[in-house]
Amino acid sequence: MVEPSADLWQQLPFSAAEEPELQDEAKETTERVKEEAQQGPSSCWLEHFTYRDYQLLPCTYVIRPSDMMDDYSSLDSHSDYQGFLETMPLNYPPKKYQSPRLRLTENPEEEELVKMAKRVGLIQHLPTGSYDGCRKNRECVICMMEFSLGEGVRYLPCMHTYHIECINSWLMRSFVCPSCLEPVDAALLTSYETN
Amino acid sequence: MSESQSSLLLRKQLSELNKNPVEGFSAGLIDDNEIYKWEVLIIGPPDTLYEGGFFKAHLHFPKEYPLRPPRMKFITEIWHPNIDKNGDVCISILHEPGDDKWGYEKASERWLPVHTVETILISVISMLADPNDESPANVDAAKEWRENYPEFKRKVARCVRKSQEECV
Repeated sequence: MVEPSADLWQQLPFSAAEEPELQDEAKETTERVKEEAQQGPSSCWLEHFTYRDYQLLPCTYVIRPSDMMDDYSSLDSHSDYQGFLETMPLNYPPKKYQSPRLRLTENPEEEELVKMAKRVGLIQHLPTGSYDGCRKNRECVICMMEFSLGEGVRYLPCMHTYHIECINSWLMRSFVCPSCLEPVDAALLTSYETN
Repeated sequence: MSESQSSLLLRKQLSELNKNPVEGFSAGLIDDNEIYKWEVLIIGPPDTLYEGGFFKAHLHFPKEYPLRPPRMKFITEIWHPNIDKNGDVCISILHEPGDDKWGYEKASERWLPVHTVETILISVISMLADPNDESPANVDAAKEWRENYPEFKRKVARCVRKSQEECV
């Protein structure tokens, strides 16, 4: 993995004026990485990797919500994802990291981390909403519970609807719709291209 | 999926199956205080070699159910290409979800969180009627099923008789 440098943050596709808070945090993170890197290879910044850090990763690794599909990004609040990451079934991030400077291809665990981060990125582009009492989708077929009015739901491209937590946990394991087996990523990638 | 959610889901299925039993099997818990361990009795499907048999099997659900599949094991002795000699059932819908390491199963053939005790048992009953010899768990049974069907039939008939005696 390329170590994030101050220059790299400058290349991010947003201006300081638009997202001053993010820019400041990016600097902070960069400083922290630099500092810890100087302390020697055993120091491990990935161990303290937070959701905020993940958001700040250069977009070559992670598809950021601000990069595309602006219509959807407003639907997802930050706290929603904080909660999601806490309940994620996978070990995220793995605690065993020793060196942040290994190349992706030489470190299967790190590759796994990047893969998961990408998956999280893809999942968060799927639109969410609150249940409006629609009669077509009465229950979440994962937990077999009926939706209650106003409850948070997520829509897949095939228009099957699930509880946000139920479908997020499933999509981290398999990227297909549990009801119709439609691969979720294929549809997502098509919509990216057309955007 | 938290533990309380998975146990809630299993309790729901149990009460539903008690209220509206499904033809071909009966289901209950091994121990009333342990929702994750089920015992089922499968009635040998009509017009198959297993007709007339009563086959007991256990289902062990993980705490992550329905995100992960249960394991299923026949307790009654049974001779079948897709059930290994210890009784463990090997069908694709009970295989963990995710990227296929071996590339021979589509995601659609593997575990999905919409599977319930009922859909699992329907698959197992259809497997009894129609073995899949592409990925046998009991290689000897698969070989016999293909090459020495009379002997295969004889062994299954013995299991059916034995299951009837055990059930009395």
